[in-house]
Amino acid sequence: MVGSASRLVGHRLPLLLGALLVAAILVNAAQFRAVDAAAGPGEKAVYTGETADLAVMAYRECDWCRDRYAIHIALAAIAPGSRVIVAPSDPYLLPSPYDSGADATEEATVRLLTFGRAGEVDWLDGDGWAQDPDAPRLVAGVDPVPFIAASGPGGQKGAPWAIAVDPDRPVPGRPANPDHFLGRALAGGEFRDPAGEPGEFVLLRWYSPRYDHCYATGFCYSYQDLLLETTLLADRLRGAL
Amino acid sequence: MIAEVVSVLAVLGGGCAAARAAGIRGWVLPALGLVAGVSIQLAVGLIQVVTPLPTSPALTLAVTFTAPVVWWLGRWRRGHDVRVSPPPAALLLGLVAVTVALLHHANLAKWHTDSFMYLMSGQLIADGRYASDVSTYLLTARTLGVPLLHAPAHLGGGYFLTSIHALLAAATLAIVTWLFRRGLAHPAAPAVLATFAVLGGLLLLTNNRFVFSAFYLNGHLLVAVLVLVIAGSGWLLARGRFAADTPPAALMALQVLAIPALVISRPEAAMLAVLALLPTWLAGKVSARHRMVTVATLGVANLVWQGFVAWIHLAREAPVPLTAVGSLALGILLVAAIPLLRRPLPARLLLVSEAGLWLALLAFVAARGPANLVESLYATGVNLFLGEGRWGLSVAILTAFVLGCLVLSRVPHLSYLRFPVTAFVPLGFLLAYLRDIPYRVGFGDSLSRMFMHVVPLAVLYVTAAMAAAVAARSPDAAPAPAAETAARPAPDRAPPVLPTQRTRSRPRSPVPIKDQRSRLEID
Repeated sequence: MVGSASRLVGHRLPLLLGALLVAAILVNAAQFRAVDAAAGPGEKAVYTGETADLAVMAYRECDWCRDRYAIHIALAAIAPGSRVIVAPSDPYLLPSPYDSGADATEEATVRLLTFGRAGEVDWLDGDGWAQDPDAPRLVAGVDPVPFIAASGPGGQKGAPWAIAVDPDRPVPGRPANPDHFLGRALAGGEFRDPAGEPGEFVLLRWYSPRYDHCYATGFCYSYQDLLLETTLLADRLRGAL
Repeated sequence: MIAEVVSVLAVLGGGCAAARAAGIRGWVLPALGLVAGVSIQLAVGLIQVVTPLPTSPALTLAVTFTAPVVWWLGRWRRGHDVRVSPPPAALLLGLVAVTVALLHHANLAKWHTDSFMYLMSGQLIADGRYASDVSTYLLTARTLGVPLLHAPAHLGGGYFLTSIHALLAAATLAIVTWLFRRGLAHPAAPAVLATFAVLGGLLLLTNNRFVFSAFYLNGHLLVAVLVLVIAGSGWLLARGRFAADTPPAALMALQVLAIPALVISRPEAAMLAVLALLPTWLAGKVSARHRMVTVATLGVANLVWQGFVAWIHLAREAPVPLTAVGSLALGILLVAAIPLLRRPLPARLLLVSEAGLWLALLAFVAARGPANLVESLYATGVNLFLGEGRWGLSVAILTAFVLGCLVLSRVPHLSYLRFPVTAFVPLGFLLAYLRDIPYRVGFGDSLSRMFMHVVPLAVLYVTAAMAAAVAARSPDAAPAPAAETAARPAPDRAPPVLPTQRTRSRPRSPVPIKDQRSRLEID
């Protein structure tokens, strides 16, 4: 009986194996659309996005990317090629809260250089600050609110953020609500072909929570990431940088 | 768009020049040329990154194109038959340019959060800041291959080349088909081979994740085609049967070129390269020199890249990660093993290696507990068989086919294709222990995405095994033509004379199935 079965299979082996492959192909084909239907936009096999602009993709299609990179993309749209100084917010609280370890500082530097298109990134260890006994707390000395050109609510992977610029810096398409700046800038190609001139900014932790952007769980960031153009600082503080 | 067209044509042109100079010709030249070109691009980029040379993509492309063309010109002037017919070449370049332009505007790119990290690395390379500013995380986790592949996009103000992965997908399809046709040297009824070749191509083309990978900004498809070329070239070399359009020197060149590109494309790629190359190191028909060159290339490429990784960590006063230390040790071991490859390694080493991987996995389970494996198995099962990894049933079916062929097929030479596929399974779960993080349910899970590394090779293995089984029973089967066996490297030891070799000149008569099967046994 085994011999008969073997002979039966042997004669029909080409058909059997071919049929198996054809069946597998048909299953693949039948499931193709179902797999895509269950997938998000970035996971579909066949999906036409609205753009191939990486910054737009990061901002509009990827929540985590928007949380992480929005401040940097905005910097590149406003002032590409800038020098960014990472400094302690308080001269007496060292180091900068962004200097929380080698991994964090490296990651912050890479984001500023790539998405932020910074010309250079300098990390201050705060010595300059500490040598000035009268140096006021930075954020108490300058109120950045009137100078904020762009801002964002942050999210799961990043705090709310703001970019404050010199009043003489032209910011094309600057909306009344700085939260809307980045969306408009990306739509207008400001990231891809920025018109802004390089400047000098300091990255600070600004302890001004955005209570309008708390999570449903009640969690609120107690600060915002602030990029402040150094021309807004008092000369003494600017010199310390 | 212009920058992308120029970049792709430079890589393709350089690769085709190299492949043609090595002796490849025919319809497969563009596909193998693209893979060769990418391999050269990544090797050149690696040298730029680890040395004080500028890392400008313009320099990378210039060398990638010029060096092979100079080689091709030299061979042409010395009278070798490396001519290229201008009309088909021009047509090909035009077709590729149009394809690149269409894809550039089609907005088909797919991404994952890792994609952005790869592309940030690419920008650092393009800006000449890689060595000074790359984070240690990007260096070890995202490596160099994908960033180098996309760095030329910055010449046009972009972050990634929109067309390169789609072109690599097309090349993968072509290479699977070509390897199938070349490797099954038993010339059964042509209709049988043609049918299975088409079915194999369709099996790959209808795979949702394969199509996804054609537009996915990641390195899985790149790794897959490099593994395919390394394992497939080794298969053809070991079989000792070459067609006039694929001389052994060309296969050796393709295999060697692909190795450094693979090493820098994934953190675990060196181990994958060992799996893909191990059958080559066992093959008596592969020349000793080639065996030693491949192990030397893998060892040196590994030492160069991991040495750079270690140097960056030390320069930043950061601890060198255990993975880099392990890879450096592997590189040293490989270089030290070069003299051992003067003779082919024992054939049983395949079985021992695969068993060894499973034993190593069990050792980790014993040492660190089963939680990682249990969690990883569960997640992988859900991803591959219950749709969470977006594979549908394709991997489940392919797994069944592989297991079926493994059990039922008695064609030894197919182990060259089978071994990297089946050995990948214990390696994958070992990696979970090495990184100390189990796999997870979802599309973004590493192992679920990593299975793409062996899918094209698995499709080739399955269709080759099935076609070989059918061909062995075909009443139309005839001996291989003498011309195909002409260009064979001198074996290190005389191969055993098989009964069929003595009877090759006699007219064929119907032979029982058992004897037909023995004609396919090479080693």
